[in-house]
Amino acid sequence: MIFSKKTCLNGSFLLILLPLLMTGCMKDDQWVKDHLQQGIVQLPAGGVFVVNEGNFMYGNATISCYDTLKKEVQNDLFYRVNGLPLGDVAESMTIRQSVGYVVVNNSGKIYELDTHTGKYTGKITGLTSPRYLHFVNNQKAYVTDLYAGKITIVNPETNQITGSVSTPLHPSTEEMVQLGNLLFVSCWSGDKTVLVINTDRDQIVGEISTGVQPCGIVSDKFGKIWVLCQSVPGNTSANPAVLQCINPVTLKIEQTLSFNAGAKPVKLTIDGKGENLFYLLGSEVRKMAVSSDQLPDKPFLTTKSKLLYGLGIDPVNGNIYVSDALDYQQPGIISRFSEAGTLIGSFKAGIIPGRFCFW
Amino acid sequence: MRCCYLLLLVILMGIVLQKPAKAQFLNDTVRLESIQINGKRITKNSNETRSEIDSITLVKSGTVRLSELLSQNTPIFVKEYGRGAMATVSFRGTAPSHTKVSWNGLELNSPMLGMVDFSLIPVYFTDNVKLLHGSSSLSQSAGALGGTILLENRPDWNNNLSGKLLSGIGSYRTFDEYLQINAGNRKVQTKSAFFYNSSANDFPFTNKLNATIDPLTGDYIYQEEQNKNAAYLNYGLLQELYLQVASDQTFSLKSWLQHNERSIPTLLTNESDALSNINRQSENALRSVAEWRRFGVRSRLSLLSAINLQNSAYRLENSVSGAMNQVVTDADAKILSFINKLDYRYNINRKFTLVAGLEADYYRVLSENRLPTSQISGYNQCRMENSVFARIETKLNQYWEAEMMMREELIDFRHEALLPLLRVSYQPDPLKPLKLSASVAGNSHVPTLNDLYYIPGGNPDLKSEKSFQADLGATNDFSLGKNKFHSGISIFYSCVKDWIIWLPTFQGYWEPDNIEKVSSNGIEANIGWSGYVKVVRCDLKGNYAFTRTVNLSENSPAYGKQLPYIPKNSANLNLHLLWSRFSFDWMWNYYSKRYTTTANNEETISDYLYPYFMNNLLLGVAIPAGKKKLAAECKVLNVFNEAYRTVLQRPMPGRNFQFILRYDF
Repeated sequence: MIFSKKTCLNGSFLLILLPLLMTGCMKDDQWVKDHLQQGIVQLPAGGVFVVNEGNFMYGNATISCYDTLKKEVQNDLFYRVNGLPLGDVAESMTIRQSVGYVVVNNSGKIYELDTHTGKYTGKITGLTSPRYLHFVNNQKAYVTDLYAGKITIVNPETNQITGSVSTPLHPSTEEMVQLGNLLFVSCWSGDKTVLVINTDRDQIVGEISTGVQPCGIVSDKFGKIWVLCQSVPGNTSANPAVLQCINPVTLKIEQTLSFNAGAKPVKLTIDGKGENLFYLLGSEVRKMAVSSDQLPDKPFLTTKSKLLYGLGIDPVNGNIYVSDALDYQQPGIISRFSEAGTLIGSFKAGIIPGRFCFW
Repeated sequence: MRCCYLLLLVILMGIVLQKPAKAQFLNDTVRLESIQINGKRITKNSNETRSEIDSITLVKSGTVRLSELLSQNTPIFVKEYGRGAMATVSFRGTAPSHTKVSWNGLELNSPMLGMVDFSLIPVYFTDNVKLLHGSSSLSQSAGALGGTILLENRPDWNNNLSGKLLSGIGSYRTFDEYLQINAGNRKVQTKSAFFYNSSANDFPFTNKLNATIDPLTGDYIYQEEQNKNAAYLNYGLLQELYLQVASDQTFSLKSWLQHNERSIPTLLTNESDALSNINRQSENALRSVAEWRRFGVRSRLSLLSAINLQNSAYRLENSVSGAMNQVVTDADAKILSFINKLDYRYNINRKFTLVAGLEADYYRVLSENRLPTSQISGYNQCRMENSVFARIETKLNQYWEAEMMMREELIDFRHEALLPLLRVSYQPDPLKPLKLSASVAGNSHVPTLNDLYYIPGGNPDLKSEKSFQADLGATNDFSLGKNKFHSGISIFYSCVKDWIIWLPTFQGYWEPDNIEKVSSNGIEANIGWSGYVKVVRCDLKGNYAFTRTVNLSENSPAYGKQLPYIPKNSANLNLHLLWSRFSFDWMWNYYSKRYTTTANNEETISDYLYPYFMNNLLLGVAIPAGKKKLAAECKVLNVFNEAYRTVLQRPMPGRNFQFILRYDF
């Protein structure tokens, strides 16, 4: 007999002791500390922040900072500098006076970070499902919301909510663009309206009926408003996605350009000069002069991606940034193109890179 | 892997240690004349890769949910979204919808979602829990690419009047009540049971994922918080009726009515308005199974008809001052499953047994979501699923047994898949319990109705997931004096084509897609020891699983990577000590690191979750109460009061307690 009874029993007692050896092994604190940056982070004087949405209900949104001169990227910037996760679904970012305001949609808050160091300097909390932040002046900014049925007014200097513009018939308010004292707000989810708000009085002064699900909204060099309406999933020729041009004085739609049935254009963007509109269509980037009266029938850029997710145009040099979210469950790839459409380079960002913020 | 080597060692040890036993048999044993026993009970297929949770474990697990029972006693990985929150499983590295749960022949998997929420199934309501691993599940149904969990209820024909009463109180205002009354005779038996379980679930924790900045020092201030909006309430009624309608026939009717409701807490990083994200999820379910069985000398015929009705509702709203609440989600689902089965088993002769069956199932789902714009989106779809199978079990000689099976699956009366199974087993010495087995099989899992029709995102072009499965296994039992040992090991391989996964899109919603190929392979092993150390009765049981589930789609950016949230290693160990009237149980559970992305990165804090180790303790004492049994128990959960997470951004409770009084009469 190779093993005696005594040996076997002793072996069994070793197994019994195993749980005791495994006690206190979950290193939650260590896990929290492991990904902190050692030393002080110095961000470049200019570059681009990439807002990585992360997966819904995973809380894995991040910020990447790309140095256009050194061609280096710092991923997961907010956590590494601050030891705090950004939150769940980072939707957008706005920079004003060296402070970046990151709207974290499903965490109901806006984080503020120093654009020189990435350091967390404050936050605006108590929102419902915030989407975008638009500055009216240093003491007043509007925050749109997916579900609140109101646009929240905040004071970025005190981080306090100071009021709201009620939009009960339009629960989902999305992107904003301002001309003079009029703010144009697209009402996206299930809606077909652009709201007009007087920013002096914080009151709705007009409603413009648009195509279905207006999302991206920009203003061009002629002072016209362009809005991209995505239509509904599985759209047909009866209800296609449309690009519309609004006269901000008459509040009338001057031009409606219809996409082919089934087309899913997204991420309407305009260059720094306000001369050309850009949007994504599948794996392509389309470009259209604001003076044109028809949609471009050929792509400006064709990529190897299966599907593009994010689009940003550097307002200074016109460089084009597009993101590929790959399988949406791993860090996405950012490709950089020159203004003329030549590939300059690419880098890896975070999960679902959705927005670009230049400074 | 070290655990596997240990298991192999235990099996080999058993083989070595059995040799003297044979010698003893030759010298000391008196040979008896062999006799033939004819019985009505027909043994189940003994070659299947199956495991069973023993009755002692079930008794002491009365107040736990099925999710906890499985994580503590089987190699299945349980993904729990929080205390009292949804729990899904991964069996052999597969997706939650690849594990089927059958309650007395009625499949509990929702035809809408495909999966089962294991946190809603009370262990009270079952007398037996069995696992059919991998291809063994084909004997029950197709589509269980990981395996099937069988929940069974049984009558006790010797019972006249008996019952159980259980009352529990625990931390965070948690209450458990259970009453069961069994009455009958040798012709009729009834069992009536009721359970109630509720919890405020408001455990405290330090939120390290949110901080405010101290205006004086600049330091972070972490908030001490309570788990808000997480209360749950479950109650249910179970009625069983068993009739011995003739000497060779039985009829049973089981009905289970249950109500569940709970709120879903926000993530740790959430700092939204306190009046936003007010949500409530509720569900009513009625399950009924009627079964008639006829036993012949060489045959058994079973007819089963069952129904599963589920009504679920989820409402999420935000409070808006000065206006009506803003309803974000107001979704309802009405789900019907109507199952009909015929099974016939016939022993042709001593070598061959034929098993054949038919199944005709009807599923209907009405899913409605009232949008904030007053529109209603949703779908109303039904599906017929039919199957027919035939199986031959043969005992080739005293060493070899084999089983061949073909199963034809039809969806809406159209051919869907023809699924073969071949299994052989070999017993080197018929007088010893060591048994080796091997199997190969094909399996197919159809998309759920949500996969096909959900709005937005449903993809009617989805294909069924097709799987090839292979198994190699060995089991052995041996004794050393009063000590009994059990060990088992199984090596499995599975390749699934057209694996379905939901992915987010730029449109803001998720869509399912067939990703080309996923391979899942690994090892499952278990050990058991029962014996005495002086006057203390000891039982030690353990499970270990190594699971490698990787994406093998060549064009995928995640090629060769482990699928998210599937640990490579998982294990559990249970020690039960019994001395006089006192009992002591130590339960240890382990999962290795889980990646949360398909890239398997470890760059950011949210790319992975650290290994999970959990220790629970149960102290019990039997109180003298004449012929009845009265017992008091104290459970200590998370003994070492560890701060931990099992899913990103979801808090879990620290050390907590439960006191239980149990009375069996």
